[in-house]
Amino acid sequence: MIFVVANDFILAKTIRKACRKITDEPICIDNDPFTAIETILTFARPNLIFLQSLLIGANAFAFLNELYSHEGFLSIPIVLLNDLKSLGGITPSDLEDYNIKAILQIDRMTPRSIRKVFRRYHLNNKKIPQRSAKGAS
Amino acid sequence: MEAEVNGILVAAHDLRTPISLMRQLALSMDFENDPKNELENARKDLIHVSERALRQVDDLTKLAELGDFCLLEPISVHVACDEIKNELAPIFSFNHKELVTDYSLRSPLAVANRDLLHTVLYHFGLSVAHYSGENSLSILSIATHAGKIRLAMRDFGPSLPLDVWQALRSGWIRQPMELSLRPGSSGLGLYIASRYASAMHAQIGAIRHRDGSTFYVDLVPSRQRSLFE
Repeated sequence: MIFVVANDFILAKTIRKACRKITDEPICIDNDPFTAIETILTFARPNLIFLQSLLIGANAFAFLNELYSHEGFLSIPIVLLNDLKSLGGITPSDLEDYNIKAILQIDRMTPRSIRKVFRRYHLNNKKIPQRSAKGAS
Repeated sequence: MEAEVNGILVAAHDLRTPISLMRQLALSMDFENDPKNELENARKDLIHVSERALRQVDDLTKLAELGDFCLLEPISVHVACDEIKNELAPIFSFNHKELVTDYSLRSPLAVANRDLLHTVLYHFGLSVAHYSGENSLSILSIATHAGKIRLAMRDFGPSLPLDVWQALRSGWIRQPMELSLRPGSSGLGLYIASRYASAMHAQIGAIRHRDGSTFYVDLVPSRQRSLFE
């Protein structure tokens, strides 16, 4: 399972669509960080989480702190979807502590860049085709 | 000069989100491989987002043109609320939520400006549509309160942040950056609502509940009899 936690449903749909070109695994969307955590804890540990930096009711780090307070979830790779102009004082060490593998700037990312990080950081990335049958890269 | 720059920054900040979304939608459209219905859905999303952005531009323009004089007339609040409910229905549906009405007054008339009132209720509705809990019900109501006609939008979800409530309690928001209910927003919508309400001699406010919030605007009742009574 892949999880997209983004406060805008349209943004989440475009990410899902980009990933859909190279995988058939379920891709869940949620705009509420707390129900997203509930879903993750209840159903399955995701192989990758796309996480928007600003969320309704919390930010990405509050979400991750909550998720990591549960045992066994620290190894999930996180791709941060950043809508701020800068990361405001977040250090590389912070990113490592939160297992953030990549940062995509929302106003510059493309379907290709989404698929690139998906391939690179997905937990089972050896099984992901480099090119889909439809020729997406 | 500083106020002018801040105003420009606020407007730029608020327009960034819909423009980024439009870009993502356009990039996601694969005309060689996508089925027709998917392209049609993306087209509808593009229209929806661009109309949101245009609305923001219109509101900013109106705000700049808001002078000392504002045309006020007796307005049927039932009609105003029904119009806003119809306009917001797709947005609520889009966010998996529902807006229902609860009118406890018969045919009340209020002294207001039709256009400005519509915008005030629209911005309340937008905040509620995005901020309330998933699959929740929101209620648009008409009632009297302390001699005024209160149009209120109640949502069920996270309680209103304390600083936002305090800013709204005073009924007057000095600048948009004082409050922001949701990510990607500078609070411009509620600031505009505050200014428009003031132009109508009305007052906006908010009530914090444990299970959500109520945004309201108190209007001066019109003593003129309605032609439709």
